[in-house]
Amino acid sequence: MKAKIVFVTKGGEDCDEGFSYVLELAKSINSGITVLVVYPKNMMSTFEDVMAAAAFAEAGDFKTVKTLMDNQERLLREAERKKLADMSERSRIASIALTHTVAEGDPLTVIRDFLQDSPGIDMVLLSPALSANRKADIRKLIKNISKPIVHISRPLKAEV
Amino acid sequence: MMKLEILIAEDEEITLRHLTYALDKEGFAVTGVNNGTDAAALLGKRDFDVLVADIKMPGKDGLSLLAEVKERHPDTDVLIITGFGSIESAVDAMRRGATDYITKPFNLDELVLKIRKIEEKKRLEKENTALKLSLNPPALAGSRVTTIAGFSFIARSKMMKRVIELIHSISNSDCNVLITGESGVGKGLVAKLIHYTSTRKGASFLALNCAIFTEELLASELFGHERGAFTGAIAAKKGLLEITDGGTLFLDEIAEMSTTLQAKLLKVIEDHEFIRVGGTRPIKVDVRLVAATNQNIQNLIAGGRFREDLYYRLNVMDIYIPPLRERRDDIMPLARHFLEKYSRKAGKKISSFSAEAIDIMASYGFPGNVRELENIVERAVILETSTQISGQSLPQSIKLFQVETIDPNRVKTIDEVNKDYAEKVLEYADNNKSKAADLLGISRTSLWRILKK
Repeated sequence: MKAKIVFVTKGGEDCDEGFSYVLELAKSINSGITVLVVYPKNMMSTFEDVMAAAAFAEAGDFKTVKTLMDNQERLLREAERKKLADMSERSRIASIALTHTVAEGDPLTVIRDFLQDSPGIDMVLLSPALSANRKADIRKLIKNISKPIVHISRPLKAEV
Repeated sequence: MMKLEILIAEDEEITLRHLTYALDKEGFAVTGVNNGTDAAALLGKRDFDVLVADIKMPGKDGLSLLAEVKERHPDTDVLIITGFGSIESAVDAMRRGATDYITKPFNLDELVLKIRKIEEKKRLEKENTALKLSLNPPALAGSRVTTIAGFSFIARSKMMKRVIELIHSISNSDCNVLITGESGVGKGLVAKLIHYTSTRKGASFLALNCAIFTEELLASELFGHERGAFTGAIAAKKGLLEITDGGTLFLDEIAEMSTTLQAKLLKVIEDHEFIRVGGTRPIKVDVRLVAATNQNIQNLIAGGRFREDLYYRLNVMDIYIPPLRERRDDIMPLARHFLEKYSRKAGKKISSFSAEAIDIMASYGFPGNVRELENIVERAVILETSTQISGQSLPQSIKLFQVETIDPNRVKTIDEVNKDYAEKVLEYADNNKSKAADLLGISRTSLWRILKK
């Protein structure tokens, strides 16, 4: 089964629901899935961690800063491993071939570079977190990528 | 169609010359030798359809040649010429696998009749092979054929009606066709329609998915191979180009073909001949090619991954099939067609969709196109317990999410659209910018700004 769908997700994002959709789609068109996890270059993800690291840096305790950053990276990698293991298991149960790649950098650049090396991909699916920024990024995306781009998002509920 | 290739092995010179001349006049491709050793050597170099051999010859005799042909060239029919009164040797030859025999002195018309029967047998065998391949595809790992199980084509939208019109407009043409469109839109079905509305509809139609084979296996599937061409090639095998001679070969996912094979395919289109893997003899062939891809071929050409000369040879006629989201009028007719198909298959009496199910399908984007729709309906039929498909039988994921697909190849900004148009007008005006600006009703400066973007 050739991987025809690339599912792009933000590192650290809870993309469980988005992946459920991708799995259903892959089953219906008999496709494999490649999960592309994109982390921003700066691995710090919480304001508190950044502030803590800054405080230690001001105090000259660079060893603690490095420990904090390494710890944060370790936690992120651990969470990512668990997430990918869960996706792999769900794909295995559904008899869908799954591969994954982890990359750092700007999502648009990462997607473009990935597609250049993977000409057999039929469509790009953006997770809900990436789809949320689509107004800002859509023009850049369509200028750089020649595959159909699928945004997955939750419909907005009308307030009564 | 290719001429029947006949090798005559006869030591009597007058008979040999007479037979060679007469069979050549009948339209066969004839080669004559006056001894069995030379016949064996020729058989080792190339394939013949029929061997006509005298039973008694210097060197290798007819029966030895027969044994060799049965072992190494099983597709070659053997017609043994026996002496006057030697019926036992004729029976012996038949027991050893000869297709037929003729006793001396023989009537030339009788010999021609026997050869014509062999020719008809081979034609039917070839048709049978093609039919078997199309109805009974082998396991997926070695699969080379798309199952053809009968087809009907749903086209309610204007866009698909135009596709049908285009297919009808080329029905009397023999041109190669390139079908483009996203994955799951129905490119294979359109390829079948092109064949079965053409003058080639009585001949074979076979499909080959270029994405599922390695380069070496794809070459073998396309061109066939000779015995010993590679490890495991214990007998010669005809490729799909030979089998679909006179018919249509559908090459799906053509963009996955290596540039090396693309070059060989180009030669087939230009010269109408090819050589089997491991072979030396060119084989003439008359095949119409229909190719398909979901990739942007222009980008692949720019990147050196697809040959531009091959593209122009395949793209004599280009048929684009729009995605399902751009022809929403087709969704419900297609859904009803699949409902009927799978209800019948499951032995269920499900005859319609509920209003909720219709709403859900009407507002869903179907990034997987017709293939996805078919799968959704098939699963709904399995899950449904009433006579109507309810919203509950549809996948939860298509109800929970808003899915929007944007195809960058189809989206242009206003500036790009203006630039494209301005370039067309400039070309029309023979590159005269003043004239082009005049035609567009704008100043030269404005034209320059549009073209510069």
